[in-house]
Amino acid sequence: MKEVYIIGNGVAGSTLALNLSSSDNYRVHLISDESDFFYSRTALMYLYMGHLTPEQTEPYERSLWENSKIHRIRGQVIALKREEKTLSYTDQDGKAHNASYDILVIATGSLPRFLDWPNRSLKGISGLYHLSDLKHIESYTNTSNCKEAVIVGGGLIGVELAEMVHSRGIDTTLVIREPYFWSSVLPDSDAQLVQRHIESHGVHLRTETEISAFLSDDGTKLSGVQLQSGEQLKAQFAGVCIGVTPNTGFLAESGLTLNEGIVVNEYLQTNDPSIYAIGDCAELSQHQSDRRAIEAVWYVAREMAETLSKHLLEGNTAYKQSHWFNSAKFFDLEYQTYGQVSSSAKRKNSELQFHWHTQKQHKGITLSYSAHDRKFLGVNTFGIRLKQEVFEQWLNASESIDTVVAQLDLAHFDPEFSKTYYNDFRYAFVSNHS
Amino acid sequence: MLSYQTTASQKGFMYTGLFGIAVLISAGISNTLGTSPQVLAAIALGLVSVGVLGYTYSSYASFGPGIKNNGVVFRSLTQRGVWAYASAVGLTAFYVLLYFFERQLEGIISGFDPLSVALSGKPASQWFVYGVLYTLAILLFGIKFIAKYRHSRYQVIRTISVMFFQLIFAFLLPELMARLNGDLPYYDLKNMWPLNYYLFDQYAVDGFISAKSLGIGLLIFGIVSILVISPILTYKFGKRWYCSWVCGCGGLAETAGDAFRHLSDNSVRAWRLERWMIHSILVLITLSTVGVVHSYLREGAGKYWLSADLFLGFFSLLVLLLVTLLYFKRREWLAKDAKRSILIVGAFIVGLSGIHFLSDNYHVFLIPTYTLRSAYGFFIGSIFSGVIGTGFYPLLGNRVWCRFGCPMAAILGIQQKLFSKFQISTNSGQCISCGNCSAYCEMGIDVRSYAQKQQPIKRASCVGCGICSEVCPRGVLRLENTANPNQLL
Repeated sequence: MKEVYIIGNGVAGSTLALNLSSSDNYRVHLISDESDFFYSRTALMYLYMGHLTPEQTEPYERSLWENSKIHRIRGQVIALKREEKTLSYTDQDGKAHNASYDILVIATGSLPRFLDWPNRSLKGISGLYHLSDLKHIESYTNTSNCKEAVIVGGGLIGVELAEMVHSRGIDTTLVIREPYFWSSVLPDSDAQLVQRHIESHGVHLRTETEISAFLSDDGTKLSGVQLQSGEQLKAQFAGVCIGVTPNTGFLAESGLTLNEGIVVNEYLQTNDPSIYAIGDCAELSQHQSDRRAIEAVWYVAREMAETLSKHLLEGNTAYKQSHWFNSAKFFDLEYQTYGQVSSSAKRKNSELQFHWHTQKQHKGITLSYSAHDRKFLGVNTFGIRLKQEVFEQWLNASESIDTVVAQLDLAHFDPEFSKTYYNDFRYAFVSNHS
Repeated sequence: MLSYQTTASQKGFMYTGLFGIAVLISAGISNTLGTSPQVLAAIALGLVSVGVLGYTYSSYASFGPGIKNNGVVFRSLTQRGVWAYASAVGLTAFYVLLYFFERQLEGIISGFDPLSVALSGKPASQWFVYGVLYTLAILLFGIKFIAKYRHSRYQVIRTISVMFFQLIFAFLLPELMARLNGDLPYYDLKNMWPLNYYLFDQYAVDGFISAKSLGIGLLIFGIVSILVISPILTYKFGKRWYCSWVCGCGGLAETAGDAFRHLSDNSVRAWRLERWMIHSILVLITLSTVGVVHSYLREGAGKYWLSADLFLGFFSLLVLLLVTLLYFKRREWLAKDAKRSILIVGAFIVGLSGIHFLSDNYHVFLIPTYTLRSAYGFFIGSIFSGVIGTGFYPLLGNRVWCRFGCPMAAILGIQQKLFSKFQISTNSGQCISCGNCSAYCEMGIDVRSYAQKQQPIKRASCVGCGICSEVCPRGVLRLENTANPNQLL
């Protein structure tokens, strides 16, 4: 029986723990400094907005954990001695413990990224990643004194946090470095569509600017932010959502190869053969040209956990990046993407894109395809649900853009009776390409 | 939590509605007030309508289409706070009065006389008052539901459907039919046995028979509904065609109960309890109905076209057919459910032989038939479906009756599980396990447990309300009629 220690009970660590716990070959220990039970990080916003209770955000019933063979440890790992294959952690009472492992899996996720802004330690500033972040945000925004908020960062977490504080009647401004919301990822046409939707909810946007300092009237509490554009915005709360960095601080002395994250091979194995890393904190030493070395999203973390489970249970299973997919919801606007649709800044001439959107409702589709052979490359949809399975087939078969446009109905996944837009889209596409 | 608290205008409209209810109560003592109960009843219904519609406007008008669940778990009324307990006590008291203290309601009932006379020509009864209030609740809260879910055509059309069936089929048609033919028992065409457990009682059957061809036609329709129409529609669309599109209990749950859907317990423990309870009640009502029909057929031999023995023979044959189908044609994936079903059907047969060999005219299993029947009517028909089923909306969720008690839902559920094209499909790996689908499932199905495993959801209890698909932030769930039905035949 091998002792497996997993650090981190997010989707990566918890999925792995559950998969391994069915095997008699492993005794699984799951360490978390955040929560007793695995909860869905993506549901943090619904906790804050009062859609869900904390227990409802937990993907598995508590009895499942309690009845499983998994040894759950509430504690924080402070040191790792690889030569002895031991780690030490402190429990919630601050008491130190040592444990020896046969296999160690690091699934510690990310931390919100901060820059070295003046006054960044004022009260009223927080990122959004950890349960403790949510507690801070709650305490900063749950007073009648909080009338204005500034959210820094035009990405997925930024718009979530904007929706959260805006839902409590706080006047919210989103500060974005790029020309449009999330235009580091979306083509400009798509970014503008999302931006219109966000603005329709009454959130203000400041684009092509960054903050240069946090301001305070009394030296302890936040009272505003200073923008590089020279503008000053009043704010009693500031959310910092400019991205995340792998949570690897405790490994600095460990001798593991660290770059931005923990560097792993195709078996998700570090330079120490008995140590693996999965999820946000893992950095692939080799990756596909159209994908990144660190992909800090839920789906990738889950997929890595599934792969490593299989590798440890059945042997010899390498992590292979599948076709990229992702999804999000911006206020009431759902977004799905399959395959590759480059942002306007990154798009090369070999990639053509066709964008269509409705005039009134915020519905839109963007397809991208190769300029030389019209091969379908990817899709973004807004306010329209499309079936992943169908796009996987099209991508696997290197289907042409014309086939995809002609057969788009096959991917239909909107609820029954929904108005469909496939004919409008097709008409627009054909009249644009003939 | 600041802005999630009820706004001043929302509060104003809530108090308007509550004041309307107070006015209605005052109609009961109007003799001492000196105002006619008819005037008070009219004012009361007007105030309640203004209250609900005004609350709807002030809650949703200033927001665009989309999910409106902000603050649901912070509010007293919707998260088992003081307001929830107060509403539960109020609703429960109303049912207790309605069922057991009709006398005390005389003043209020007389307030509804003009409307009742206009419709059926007869003065109001407490059941007419209940019908008016029930229908009004579905219409008013139906409008609220449509305003809340106006982004979804499925929700809008489904809600118009339950409003239509309640207003026309449950409320207006029976009253008008009674006006045309006084012999006809009250008959809500869409209300099938066993939900309508008194459909085959002697007084009802006698009523149908004496109403000649129209009555006989209705009786035949009643039998065809449960034996032919319901399996066909469930095969094509799942049990939702009834439970969340047509049924009155479902209609009230979907509209007036919508604010409480997230209170349904979605633990595995609750699921186990649900399966035992609902199937036991199905066995109980089937046995007691067969017993009642058998005993009056035998008692009045010659009076009816059907003899008691023939009736029992026909029924036994039907049961045997079902058992054979289940036993020989079941698929592996059905194992657990099939075993359970066979158990149920086995209990039927034991019950049947019990009736045949142990009964005189008045006894089933040596228990007097009518005692068993009235016990069912009292404990299940009144206490469970009314007092607990609706009275406890604010504490246990809006589908307690449908989930744990309704024998109709049990039959449709077995059909849905065994041979329906309906299922909720999941969109591959898109689930983020956030939990909205499970939390807002009124039937307490842990939808997420299937979605995160990328499995379709095929559950006997699913009424196909479609809210899981609405609240999913990533578009993972879709209600479909295209599943492989795993046909038994």
